[in-house]
Amino acid sequence: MLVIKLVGMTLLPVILSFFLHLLKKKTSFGNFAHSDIVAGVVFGAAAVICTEFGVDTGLAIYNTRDASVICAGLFFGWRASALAAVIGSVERFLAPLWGVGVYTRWACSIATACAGIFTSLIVKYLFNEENQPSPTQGFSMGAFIEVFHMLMVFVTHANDIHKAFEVVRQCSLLMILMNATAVALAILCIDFSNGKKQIYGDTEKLSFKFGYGLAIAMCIGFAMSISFISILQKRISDTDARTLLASNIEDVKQEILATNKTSLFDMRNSATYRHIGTSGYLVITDVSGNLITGSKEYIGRNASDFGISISSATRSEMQRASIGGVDSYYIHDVLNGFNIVAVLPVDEAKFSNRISVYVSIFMELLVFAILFIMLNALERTLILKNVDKVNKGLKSITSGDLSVKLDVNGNKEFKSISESINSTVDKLEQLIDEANARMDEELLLAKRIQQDSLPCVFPPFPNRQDVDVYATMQTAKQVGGDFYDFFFASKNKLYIVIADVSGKGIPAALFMMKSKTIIRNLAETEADLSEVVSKANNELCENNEMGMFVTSWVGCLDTDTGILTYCNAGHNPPAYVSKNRVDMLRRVSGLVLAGLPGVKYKSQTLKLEKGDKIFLYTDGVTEAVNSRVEMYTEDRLLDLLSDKECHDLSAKELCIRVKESVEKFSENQEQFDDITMLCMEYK
Amino acid sequence: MTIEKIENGSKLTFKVCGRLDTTTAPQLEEAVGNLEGITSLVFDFKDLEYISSAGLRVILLEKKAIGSGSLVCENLNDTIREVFDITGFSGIIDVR
Repeated sequence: MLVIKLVGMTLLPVILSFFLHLLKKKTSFGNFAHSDIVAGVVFGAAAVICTEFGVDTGLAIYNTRDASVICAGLFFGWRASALAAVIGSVERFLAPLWGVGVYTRWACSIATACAGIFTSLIVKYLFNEENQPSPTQGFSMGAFIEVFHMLMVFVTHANDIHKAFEVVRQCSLLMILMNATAVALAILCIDFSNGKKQIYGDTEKLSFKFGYGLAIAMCIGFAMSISFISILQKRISDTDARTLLASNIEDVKQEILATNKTSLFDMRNSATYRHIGTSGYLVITDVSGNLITGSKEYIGRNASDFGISISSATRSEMQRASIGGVDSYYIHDVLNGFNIVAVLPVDEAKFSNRISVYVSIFMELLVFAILFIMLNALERTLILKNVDKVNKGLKSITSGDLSVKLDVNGNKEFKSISESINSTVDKLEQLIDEANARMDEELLLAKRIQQDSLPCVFPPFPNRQDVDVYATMQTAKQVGGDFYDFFFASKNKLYIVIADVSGKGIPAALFMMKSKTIIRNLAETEADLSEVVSKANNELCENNEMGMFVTSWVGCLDTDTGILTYCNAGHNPPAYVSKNRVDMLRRVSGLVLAGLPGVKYKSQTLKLEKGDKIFLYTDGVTEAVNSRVEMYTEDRLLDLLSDKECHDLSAKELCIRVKESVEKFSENQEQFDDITMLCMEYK
Repeated sequence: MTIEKIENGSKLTFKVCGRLDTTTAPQLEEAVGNLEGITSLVFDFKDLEYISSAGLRVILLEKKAIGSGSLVCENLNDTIREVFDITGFSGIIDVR
C-alpha cells in the first residue's frame, strides 16, 4: 500500500509532463502563446496535490513537489517552473492552517521556491534548442534540489537538531530517489515520444569530455573529503565518548572519596541521579556484579544480565554491547570494592559524528554541483564559444568567401588564433591573385598569338580588283575556338574558311590552331575541295581522344569564272547577298569535322555575279542573347542583310553593320560565345 | 539542367531537361558514366531547350563509347532538330 502510494507519487509529474507534452505537440495548445503559464498552473496544482496527498509518516511527507517544479521548467520554460514554484511553495507554507504537517513547513517551502529559481535559471541560460537535458542531468537536478531540501530541514531546526536528524535520516534517501527518478523518467518518456535517439551529449564533443572528466574529478574529491571527514569524525566521537565516560567515572570516584561515603545508600545516591550526556547513565555494582543502583526491579540483579561484562582485564577500557536492548558504549572501574559502570548509548555518542557527516555530504554535494555547473559555464564561455566562432569563420572561408575575417578576442590565445588564420587567408588570397595574374598574362599572350595567326591585314588584296574580303574574330574568353581563314591557293583560286571548334577557352583554342593548319595545308596541295575536306576530317579524327570536333564551312571561289564551290561540314549556313535577294545556303555536305573518320563530303557549287557577297559567321552571332534571353537568330540576320541599305556596302562595312546590330541587340549582356564573321565580295 | 536516369536491363534512358551547354555538359557525361553492359542508350530531349557544341560533343563521345550498341535521341524540338541537321548529326545519330 505504502509502496503503491510512493510509486504513484513518483509517477505523478512524469505522467503530467508526458500528457501536457503530447497536448503541446499534437493540438493547437502548442500554438497558444501562454501555454507555459498554463503548464505552470498545472504543475503548481500537482505540487499542491503532492503536499495534500503525500505519504505522511508523521515526521515528514514523502512527495514529489520539487520534481513537479523541475519538470514544469524543463519542458515548458522558465515561466512554468517559476509559477509552479510560487504556487507550490506558498501553498505548502500555508498548508499547516488546514492540517498539513508543520515541522517541515519552512524547509519545504524554501526548497520548492529554490527549486523554481534553480530550474528557471538553468532552463533560461544553460539549455536551449540544441542542448536538451539528458535523463542523467535530470536525475542530478532532482537529487540536487532534494539534497538542498534536506539541508534546509537541518537549517530550519538548528535548535532541535536531534529531531531534525531523525526526519532527515528517515526520508532523505527516498525523497532524493523519488524526485530524481521522477525527473529522469519524465525526460525519458518525452524523448521517447519524440522518437529522439540522443541529441544530448555527443560523446565526441569537447564539452562532453570536459564535463565527464570534471564529474570524475569531483567524485574523487567528494569521496576523498567525505572519507576523511568520516574517519576524523569517528575518531573524534570515539575519543569524546571515552572522555565523557571516563570523566564521569572520575567525578563519581572523587565524590565518594571526598565525602568518605561508604554506605550503600550513599553510593546509590551518587550514581542514580547522575546523567551522562542526555541518555547515558551510571551503574554501581557490588564486587560480584550485582546492581546496587537503579530502580527497584534492577537492584540485586547481575550486571551481566543486562549485557555488561565486568572483569579486571577490561577495567578502564571502553567496550560496546547491547545493554538493556540499547547498543551502548561503557567503561567500568573499581573503587572500594564496588564497580562503577558508565554507559553511553552509541546513537548519542555518534550523533554529532553522524550529523557532521550528513551535513558535510549534503553541503559538499551542493557545492560540487554548483562548482560543476559554474566550471562548465566558464568552459563554455571561455573556450567553447570561441572555438565555435573560429569554426564558423573557417567554414565560411572554406566555402569560398576569402574576405571573411575572424575576430575572436576573448583571450590572448584565441586572439592569436584569429590573427594567424586571418593572415594565412590573406596570404592565400594574395597567392591566388598572383597565380591568376600570371595566368591572365599568359592568356593575353596566347590571345595575341591566336589573333596574329589569322590573316588580319585589311584590305588583303590591294592589287586585285576582282575580290575583297573582310573578317573579324572576337573571343568570348581570352582565347577562343572560332577561326576564319582566306588565302589564294593558286592565282585564281581563293579559299575562304570559317570554323567553330566545340567548346571554348584553351582546349578549343588548341584544337582551333590544329584545324586551321591542317585545312590550309591540304587546300594548298589538294585540287578537289571535297577531297580537302574529307582528308582534313580524317586527319583531325586521328589522336582525338578528347572527342573535339569542329564545324566548318570551306569555300573555293574561282575568280575567273565566279564559280563558288563549297562544302558545309555541320556549320551555320552562310548568307548569299545578291542584288535581288538574300538567301541562306542550306545544303549540308556532311558531319562536323573530326566527328567520325571516313566521312565523304560532297561539294556544292554556286555561280556568283558581280557585286554578290557571301557572308560567313559563327553561332556567336545568331545565338547572341539579350537581357530577356531572346536569341538574335538567323531571321534577324537575314532581315538586316536584306535591308536596302546593305546593298552597296563593302565587305568591311557589312561586317561592321552586323557587328553593331548584334551589339545593340545584346544590350551589354556578357558575350557568351566567340563571335566571328567573314564577308567576301565578288567584284 | 536536370537529368533523370531510367534503367531497364541493358537499356539506359536519360531524360535531359533545360540547357545542355559548356557548363552542364560535364554533368551529363558523368551521369552516363561507364556503359559496360549497356546495348541501348536513349536520350529523351523532350524538355531540352538548347544544345551547344559542348552538348553535341558529349553525344558524339557516347556514340563512340557505345560502339556496336545503339544510340537514339528522341523527342527533339524544332530548334534542337535544326542543330542536329545542320551539324550533320542527324546523319550519324538515330533521331526520333
